[in-house]
Amino acid sequence: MKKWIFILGILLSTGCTSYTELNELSIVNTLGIDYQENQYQLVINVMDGSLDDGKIEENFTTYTSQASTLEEAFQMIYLKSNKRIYLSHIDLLILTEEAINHHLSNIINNFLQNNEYRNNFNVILLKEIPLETFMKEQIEAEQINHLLNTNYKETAMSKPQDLETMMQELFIDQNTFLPTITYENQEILLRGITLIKNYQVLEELSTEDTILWNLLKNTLQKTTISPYTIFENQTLLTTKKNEIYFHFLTTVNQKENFEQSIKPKLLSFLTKFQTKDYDILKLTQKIYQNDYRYYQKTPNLLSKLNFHFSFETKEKENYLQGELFHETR
Amino acid sequence: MKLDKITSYQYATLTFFLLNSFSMNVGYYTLTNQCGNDSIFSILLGGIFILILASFIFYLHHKYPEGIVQMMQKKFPIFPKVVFSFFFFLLIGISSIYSFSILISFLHYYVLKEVGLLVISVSLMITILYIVTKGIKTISKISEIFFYFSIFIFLFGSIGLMKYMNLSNLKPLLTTTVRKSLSSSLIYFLSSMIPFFLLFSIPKKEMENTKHFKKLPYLLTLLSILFTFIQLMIIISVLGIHLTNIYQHPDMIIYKKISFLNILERVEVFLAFNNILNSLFVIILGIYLLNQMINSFLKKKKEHISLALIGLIFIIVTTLFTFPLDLYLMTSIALFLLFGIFILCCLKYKDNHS
Repeated sequence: MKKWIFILGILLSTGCTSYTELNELSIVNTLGIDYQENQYQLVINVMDGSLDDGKIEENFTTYTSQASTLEEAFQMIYLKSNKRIYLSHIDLLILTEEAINHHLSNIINNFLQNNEYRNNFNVILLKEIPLETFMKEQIEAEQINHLLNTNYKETAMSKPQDLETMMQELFIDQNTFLPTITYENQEILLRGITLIKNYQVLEELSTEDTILWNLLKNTLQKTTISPYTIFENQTLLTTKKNEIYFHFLTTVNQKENFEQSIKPKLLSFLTKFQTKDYDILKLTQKIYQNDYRYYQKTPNLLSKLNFHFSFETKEKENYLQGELFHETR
Repeated sequence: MKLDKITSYQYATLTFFLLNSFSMNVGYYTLTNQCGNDSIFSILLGGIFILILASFIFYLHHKYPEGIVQMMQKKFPIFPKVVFSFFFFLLIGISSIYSFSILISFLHYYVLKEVGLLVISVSLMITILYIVTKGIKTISKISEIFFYFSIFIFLFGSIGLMKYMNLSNLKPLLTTTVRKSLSSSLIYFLSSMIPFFLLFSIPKKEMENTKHFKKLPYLLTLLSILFTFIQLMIIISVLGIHLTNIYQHPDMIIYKKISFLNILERVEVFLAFNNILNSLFVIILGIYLLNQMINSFLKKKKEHISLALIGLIFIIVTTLFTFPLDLYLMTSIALFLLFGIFILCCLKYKDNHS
């Protein structure tokens, strides 16, 4: 009896009941979603593994489908693909302004409901070029992600955003941001970040505003705000009721007048969004976390916030001895 | 040390796994949906209740050295014996089937996505039945071996998630009402009721020297509470309270993030083994106890046939029905009350049947 149970167990638990060969998978690399004429447009770039002489070769293929729901649009892809669409390795999600303005919450629900996604891939906003045209260029997701990361680290004129952080931010106050790209003359062009308010596209930040935003958020690594180059920065944020204190520990190329130059810019940036009733730094959430009682009894908290800045600036060591060559001459 | 006896350490590791079944059977989301960030305090408060219950349970197990089935046979005349057996059988049956259904849907959703539910349940049940046929000593030895594995997985997961932790997500604290906090603490406490009761399926004669039987299980009960507390803290600090409330198994979602030097990635299936272990021991001991109860009424012991029957019933019921969490919690409350009555009756009868 035991022997038979054991044999049956072995047969059932081999794990070979529903295997899929690698060359039978279409591994999704980039997924793009647009919304045109009351229909979702789904464009996916997949890596098709084809078995050639016993070796697996990688080919990029673009599939497009249109349907009234996102689920149907995914199903329509199967009319064109004879392979299983494998979503676990998705590296980039591209959304258009129309998709965000019409159905961002539906799109998020789709990602939450499907367990195959890993939700830590980057999300970007595509502007001024039709999604299908851009996707047919078959630019690898890795290339766009690399562009975003390098730009963020070296200039702070943009910031990558992953789906999970985006969802976290939307669940807090329905506001978030997306890095924005466009495609001109066969080149991908980064356009800073676009703000999203109440699941709708609000506006695009200028490059200087994006730098200031990164500086205030403590996400700035290196940048230049003419004539200053910031090499290192740490922003400490504290709150006391409606008073917000920013303390900057900054290493710059020249200390002189840095504080006087940057302070008005920061203040004007914050008050601009305060008057627009957009909590760009999620400061009310900070007060909610730090002083819950005050948060509860203060209506319209954002408009009552006062900002204070203090700086601890350090000049970067310069190992050049004497004057520069052209000045001496 | 006698090799054919259960050591106090093995008994303690069994307690550890049984208590950890909270994360699978009840789930962190039940607490976080009720009282948000304050659910970490619910674990602490519920943990204190559990420790009090644990000392009471270990004391009772010391006082009544027989297992629950032997106790019923020895102490009671036929009528109370049948009544108690029926209700215990029913409650343990429901809770074990509930754990089994949770485990197979977890495996289907997170680990074996392409494999059918029936295939998973049949293969899992065969494995469980095989372990049960080997007896309580083998079960406790398995728990000892997997205890080290469980600790390793916990440390591996925690270290991997450290860089994603944002402690400000844990704030604000103390924002919910006392009633809500108390109710979620009680849910955590109730989740320990069935696991603790299952320990009574082990008769003392199967254990070696009983000197350390209070200290070690107590320590590992404390460790289990601590692990639950740390894990909930990690989940909230990584996901934030809003996302934590959405997922039924938020621990599996955060495991997806773990990456060591961009080399060791996609380890969530490996880490899911801890969740499987936590649920598995409840099912194993549940079926072991159900089988003991059936055989106590049979003159001619037919353990294998009754086991096969139990397995078959488990598979059929889990295929046909879904079990809500409320049913599990109600079963826990009913078991808590029934066990109280049982102990009072034990004091009253005092071996008069024997």
